[in-house]
Amino acid sequence: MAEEETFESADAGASKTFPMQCSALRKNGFVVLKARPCKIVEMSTSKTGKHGHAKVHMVGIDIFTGKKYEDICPSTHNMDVPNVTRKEYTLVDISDDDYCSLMYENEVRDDLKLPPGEEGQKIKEQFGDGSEIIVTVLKALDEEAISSFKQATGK
Amino acid sequence: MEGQIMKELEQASAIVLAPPNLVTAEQRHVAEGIILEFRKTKQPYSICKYILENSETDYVLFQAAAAIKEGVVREWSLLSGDDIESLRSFLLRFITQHISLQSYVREQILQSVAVIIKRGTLDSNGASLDALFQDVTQLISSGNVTMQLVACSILMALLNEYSSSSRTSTVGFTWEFHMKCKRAFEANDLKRVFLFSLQVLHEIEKQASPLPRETTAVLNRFLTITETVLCWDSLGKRHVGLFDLNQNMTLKPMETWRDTLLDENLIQFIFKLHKKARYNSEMAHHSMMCLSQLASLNGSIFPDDKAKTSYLHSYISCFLEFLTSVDIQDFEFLGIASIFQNLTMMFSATCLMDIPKPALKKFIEQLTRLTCAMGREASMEEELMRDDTVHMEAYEKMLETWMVLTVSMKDFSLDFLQPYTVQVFSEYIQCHISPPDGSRVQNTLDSLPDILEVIEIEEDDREKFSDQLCSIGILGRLVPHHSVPLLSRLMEDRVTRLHGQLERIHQQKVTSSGHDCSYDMTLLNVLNEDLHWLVLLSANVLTEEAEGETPLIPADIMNYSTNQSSSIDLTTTLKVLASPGEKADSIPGASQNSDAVIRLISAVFRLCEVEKQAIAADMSDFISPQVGSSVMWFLKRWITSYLLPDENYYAQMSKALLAAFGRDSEGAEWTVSFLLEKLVSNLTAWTSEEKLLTDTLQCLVSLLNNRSRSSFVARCARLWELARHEASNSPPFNSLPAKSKRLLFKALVLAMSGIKDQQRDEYRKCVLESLKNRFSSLLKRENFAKVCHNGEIKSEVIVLLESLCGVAEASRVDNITHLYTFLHPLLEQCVVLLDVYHNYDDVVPLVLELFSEVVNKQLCFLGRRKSQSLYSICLSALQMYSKHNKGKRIVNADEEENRFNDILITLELLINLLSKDFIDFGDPDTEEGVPQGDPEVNAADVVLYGLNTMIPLMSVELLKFPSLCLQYFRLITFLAECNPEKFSSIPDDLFRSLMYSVELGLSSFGTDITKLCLEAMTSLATFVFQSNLVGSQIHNILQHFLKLVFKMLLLETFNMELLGTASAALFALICCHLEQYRSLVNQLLDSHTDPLYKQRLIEAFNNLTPPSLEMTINRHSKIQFMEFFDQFLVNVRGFLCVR
Repeated sequence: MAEEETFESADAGASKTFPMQCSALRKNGFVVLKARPCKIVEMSTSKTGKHGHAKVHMVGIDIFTGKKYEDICPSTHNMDVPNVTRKEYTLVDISDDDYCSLMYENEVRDDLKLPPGEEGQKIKEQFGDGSEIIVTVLKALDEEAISSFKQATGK
Repeated sequence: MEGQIMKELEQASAIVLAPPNLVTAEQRHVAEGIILEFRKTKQPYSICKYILENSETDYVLFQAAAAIKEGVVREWSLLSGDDIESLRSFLLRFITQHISLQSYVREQILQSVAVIIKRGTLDSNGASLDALFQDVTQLISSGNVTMQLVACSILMALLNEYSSSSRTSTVGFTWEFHMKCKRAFEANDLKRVFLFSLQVLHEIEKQASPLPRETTAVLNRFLTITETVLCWDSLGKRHVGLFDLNQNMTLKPMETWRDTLLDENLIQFIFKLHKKARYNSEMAHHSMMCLSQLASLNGSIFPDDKAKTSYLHSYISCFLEFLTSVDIQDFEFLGIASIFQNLTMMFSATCLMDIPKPALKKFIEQLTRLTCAMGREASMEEELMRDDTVHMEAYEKMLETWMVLTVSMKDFSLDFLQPYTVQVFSEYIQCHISPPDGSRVQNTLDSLPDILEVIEIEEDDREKFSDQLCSIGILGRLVPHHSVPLLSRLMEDRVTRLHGQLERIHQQKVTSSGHDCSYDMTLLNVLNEDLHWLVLLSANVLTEEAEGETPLIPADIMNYSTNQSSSIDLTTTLKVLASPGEKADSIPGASQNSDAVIRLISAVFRLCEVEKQAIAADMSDFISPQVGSSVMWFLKRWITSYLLPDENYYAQMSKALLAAFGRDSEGAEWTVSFLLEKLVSNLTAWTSEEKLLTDTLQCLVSLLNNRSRSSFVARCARLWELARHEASNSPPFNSLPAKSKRLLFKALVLAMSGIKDQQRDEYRKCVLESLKNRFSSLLKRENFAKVCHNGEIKSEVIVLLESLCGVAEASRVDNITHLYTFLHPLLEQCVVLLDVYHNYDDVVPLVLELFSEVVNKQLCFLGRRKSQSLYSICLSALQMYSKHNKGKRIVNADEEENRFNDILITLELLINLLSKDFIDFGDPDTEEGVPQGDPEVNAADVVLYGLNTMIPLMSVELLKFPSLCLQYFRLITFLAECNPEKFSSIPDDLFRSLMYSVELGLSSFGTDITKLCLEAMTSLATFVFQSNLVGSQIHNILQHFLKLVFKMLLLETFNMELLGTASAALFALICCHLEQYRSLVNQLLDSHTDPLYKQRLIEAFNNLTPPSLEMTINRHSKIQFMEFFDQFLVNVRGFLCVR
């Protein structure tokens, strides 16, 4: 326990993943599929025949790339569940190459890009309009990305 | 001029019918306008005639026919009898001269004819039906098939129009007018139509088979007409203002039909006709419907019971003759089953017993034979997973027939039925077990040894077939001497074979010493399926469904066991029970001297033992979770009625059952410990089979939810072991899914009631303290707010919350003090969870559920001080919830319903908070009052606070989810009933949205919600009236609601079942706004130009609120008003509702 407190980051001491029995996984929860952190979007239990044992079929969406993965396994098996953390930052600036300056408790980082596509475009527009933007950064399996945003006035 | 109009219309219709890529929306709109305008033409008759004769565009012909219909209805009073008659004959002549018309045009023209005739029904200058019938006769006798079919269409159009149902065209007549026409038609013409079609049918019947194709078409149409007449629905008073079609009408004609329907030859004739029709499934359906309706004949048509019996006898004779002379085809099964069902339902057992014995015997024999045959077909249908389920439907109807018979024949004697019941019961078993004893066709999926394909889990058989299993169970109990030993024998055989097969596999495993080798599962699957069904059947024979009642040992079973007492030996019986590891037959004397009921129960125990041993030998891969589930379900039902029964409920107890399961017996002690071992074994082995786990835990709960049973369980060391394992969070229970923890804790806490006083503290500490410590130490971690998002920690939180919910669910009057003290501080910590996890939809609803459950289970037992403190902790929770949701939550309607679980549960929590006003066992005297200085928190304020958060969330989109909608309106109605004064303290804008939602609720979400909203209105109006709040905001808004309710009750579709609720609401609203009410009445009067209707309305309104009625809201006035209102509606809705 003692070492844990020497780290300053929010997910200090937590392993990247932890095991969970397949049957205990839930829809909208997270799981590692093909070594990628995924959000489970579809999950169904089925069995091989009426008297067979339960198997879990799941479809996950990579939380960073949006790619779809599928897996099926006996419900007694363990699966890795990624530790996913969210952290909210205030958006301070957007560079020309779409890198964002993000601030959390007066510390600023510049290593994350705007999310691709519509979401990123919206952030850019609203930030350009002078709104104060809060972005949520997801972190899992040592990867980080901006996942969503909101206007700070709503708070 | 006429040609010009026709051209225009033809052009317009070309545009209307053109595909979207060829014309613009604008063009289409203009074209539609032209057609609509044409339909409104004054005196359109000559132009329409011109069009009909000259146009070649079907769509224009159609419009012309419709214009005539509408014109006649609109300008009726301006037309002379001759005009009308000439129009009618023109239209008919047109049809017969243009036989190649498109059918939709022809039907429209005939509909116009029918409407014209119907409009004249009550009128002296109306076109008479006689003339029409003459035309029809001519058409028929023409011998030309096309003409005959036109005649059919005319009759059908008449039946449709006069049925005054949803089949009737919408022309703007009042309901009363529709009804009067219908009555006149019933009295004068319905029978004529029937006789007419009989006449045609007689002619067709005389022709030699096979009938030519054209004649078949005529036959089919006339059968349809006959069917329509026999299904004629005479609406009663309750349906004033409704145009629905009742689907399941029995045949209840007027006395004038006596000579026709009681004519012995009629039934015979229709059966003959059916024989001609039955080569075509569509026609057979119509003739079957006729027969099935005739089987339901009832009412004043029978002058006395003798006539009834003689009708029944001649029906049954013809029916039997038919059944024995043909091979029944698949599509006839359902109809035949309906005939059996109608005959047994509509004719009393006395009637049935009065027909000659040989006929009755043959009738029951056929019923038995066909039930068995349909059962076979149905199970085949099921096994092969066919989409079509006609056989299953027919079979279920036959079983319903049996249920009616067993009830109605009870007054005579059931002995007569018994041999037949044996057959039906045995057949059912046979269909569900494998050869050679049975005839089940194994589903291909089950019989394949290694299937790669995975099937979706569907509804369990015990639910899916619960009705038929229940019926078969009842039939089995009628003949326990047959059913119980049969089940035991089959079950013992299969258990022995299962055991043998598992041992062989085990041997194979040992010899191959862990190397991968495949095992043939075919035989196991067959055995498993057999066992699954045998267990389900045994459960249904031995126990009855006891929803909301004390489950008892069924009397038939008790008597059966008692009657064996002289022939059995108790010791042998108990030995059979207590040796689940041995074959029953290996016990000396078992086959002659053991009680058969206990032997069947012991067969299930033997199955438990085989499963348990296999699990212990690490063979669970070869055990079927499905069979395991069925066994647990059997035990759950069995435990509640057989284990430690309360002798006071029985007039007589079987000695054997008492010795085996009675309260002071060693047998019961053995049984309890045997069951507990089995349950623990399941919990250990099946952590990933959720359904089986749930069944196992529910079984554990039913073992513990009764004090005498729990005190037996408490003596078992296993219980303590279970509790300690859970306390130390050690294997195997630490790997149970979170959801299972809830039931596990419920069971463990319920067990507390059975533990002796001196040990109870120790047990409680073991179960509850450990939970508390785990919970508190988790939350008190210094960096909890930071690490809480860590998945592992969140899972632990979920597990703990589920466990706490289980504790709350186990709250009872004898443990309330402890559980309240235990949960209360934890609830405070839960508020923190609502804060840190506000983003997580797997935690928030669970926390709220815990609050809701505690309030639901505990509030009613709490005294004042404790209630107060529960209210305030709930308030904190709601404040926290509100902080994260109010004004922030965006609700998207396209999300799934379970995304709104938190809202649903919050609504439930609020409802539960109000419940103390209804149920309160708390003793105010045992506790001191509220300490001075503490502000008093009352439930209504907490609810109001919650409501302020909920109202903005409850958008129209959300209300479309039925569960959310129901809970929301339940809450509103509850609050209006208990604390109407609180409505005035809701902020203006919220109050307006609230009232808007009630307005929606009155009309948009179905009868239940309408009822709730009307009740809320009544409560609010009563409050406003009694507190004299004239001029207040609530008072003002009620004015709007008076208008809505007034309109709804008088002019709109309205379910008459709500009459009582609605009249109470209307009365209360009127009392609040007398002036407004008067002006509404005047507006309505002004809108009626017909002096006759106006006069009737005035009288009706005067009678509704006569001077003698006191316009104050009290019980007496309310009841009086309700009576007046009932009368009022019957009087005026008839002409206010228009179709």
